[in-house]
Amino acid sequence: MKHTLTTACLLTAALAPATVHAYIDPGTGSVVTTAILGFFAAIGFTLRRYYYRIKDVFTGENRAAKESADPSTRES
Amino acid sequence: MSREYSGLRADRGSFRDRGNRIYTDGARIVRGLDASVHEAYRELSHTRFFQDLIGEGKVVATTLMDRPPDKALEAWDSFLQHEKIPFISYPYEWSFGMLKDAALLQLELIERAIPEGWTQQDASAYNVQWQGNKPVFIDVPSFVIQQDGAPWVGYRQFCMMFLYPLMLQAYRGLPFRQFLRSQLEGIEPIHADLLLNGFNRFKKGVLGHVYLHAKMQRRYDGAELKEARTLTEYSTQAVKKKAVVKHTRAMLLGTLEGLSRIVRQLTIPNTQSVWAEYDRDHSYADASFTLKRNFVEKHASGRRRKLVWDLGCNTGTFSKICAPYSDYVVAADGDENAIERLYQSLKCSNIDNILPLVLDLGNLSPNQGWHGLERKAFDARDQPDLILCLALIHHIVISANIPLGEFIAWLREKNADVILEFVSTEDDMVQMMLRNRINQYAELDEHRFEKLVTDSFSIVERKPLKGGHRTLYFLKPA
Repeated sequence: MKHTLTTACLLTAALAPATVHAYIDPGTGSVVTTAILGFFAAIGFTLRRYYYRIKDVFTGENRAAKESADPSTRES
Repeated sequence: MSREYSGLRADRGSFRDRGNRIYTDGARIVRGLDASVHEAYRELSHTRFFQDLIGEGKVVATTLMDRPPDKALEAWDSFLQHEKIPFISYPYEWSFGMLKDAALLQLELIERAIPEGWTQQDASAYNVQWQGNKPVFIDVPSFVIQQDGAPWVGYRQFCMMFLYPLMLQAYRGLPFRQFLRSQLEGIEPIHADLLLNGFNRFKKGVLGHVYLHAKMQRRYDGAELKEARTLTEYSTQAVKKKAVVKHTRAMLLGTLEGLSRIVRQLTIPNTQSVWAEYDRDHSYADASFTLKRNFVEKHASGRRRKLVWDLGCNTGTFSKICAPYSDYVVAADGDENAIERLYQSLKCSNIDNILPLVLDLGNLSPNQGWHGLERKAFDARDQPDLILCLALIHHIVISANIPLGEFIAWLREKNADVILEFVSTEDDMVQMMLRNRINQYAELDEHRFEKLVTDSFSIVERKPLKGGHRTLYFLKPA
């Protein structure tokens, strides 16, 4: 999960092309939508992980790792 | 439908992914795999997340098996055996809470797969089934290795089959079942955008996942149409290669996390319906209700039954009475609020063999999809051993205007024992229903009913109820 925490990764890699192969057509419009939404979601995702890490230092919990292992434990 | 062994036959709803196919002989669920899917499964079965998901019962129990002798399977390289789902159901039969929990399971599976380098190649709601009140993912080959930078290809399908139906019901109060039943692939982004317009665009998740999604679809559909017009017979232009924006892992996980938050926050108002408070508000005196409970328990416990249908189950009081004496109970009612209450109550209980379904008995789920066989009719999926029709007959005969004789003939086709509560026209509830109707229901007379029913059933026991306006029957096929 370390590399997901690097903001640089999400900002730079987003422009390189990649191919998609699946038996369903993901739809070009849908892929572009996930790229736009994913860009902002990645910023939020990364900041949240940093926030949890800092918070965990003070609380002694390991919430970041717990949520990654089982997303169903996440609070809404 | 026979339960005798007739060899493994291809499931008519399993054909979209050419790399594997489901076969069944009624007892076993076998999946034929080609070489590449087998190789992927071999790797998948060693991953930590997959083993955990199987252990938690979130993915159907699956094992590699030897080649079956059946000729129909000879083209496949290897075989998986899956645990049998007790009764197949479809998203257009689920309550809001059920579709929501299925959506959360779908998101959770991918969120747990991505950190180990895996993803899913689709996000069909039909890949989720139920073991009682627990959603279970059944399409194991859907897990594929995540290609570097590839987007989540199931995003569009997830929106169409899970997110939009839930949003329509939560934000607009439109029951999603009618959309999912008529459009098996779900609701198109453009159609969802038309339904979630105006102020609805400012509700959580709509601007991005609906408005933007629809806008992008319109734009790229237009571009593809333009390109198609240039590809004439005399044109030297080739089909353009599709370039896809690279998606980082943080983008994928961030999107999944965001969708999960949206789905968790979608709720429907706790609307009152006539039958949702059935446990408290039914029209029986305590003595009559106890008599009814005892009658049902006596005949449900007579022998262990594999499958019980409780038709018109309300909030499942009698399904719960049958559950200890049955392998599985399908509790069906046309009132979503009653089914939602049953589902939520089952989630808080230790009863694990009741499947609640929203079904309009006057218009049961039909055979549909490709060749009319992809999604099976409710009554073509399995054969019940016992059918409960308690205080249902007047709704069938009066509300749905289905002749009593036809309903009895339909029951007889199932070749099951029946516990039926007959309601005569003198009953207060029937009188209420007849207030604004011409009384053309002379068949709702106990003697006429008995004459009709004894043509195809034998009456094992009869017990009058509510001062003789209702009668309980235990019927066996003649």
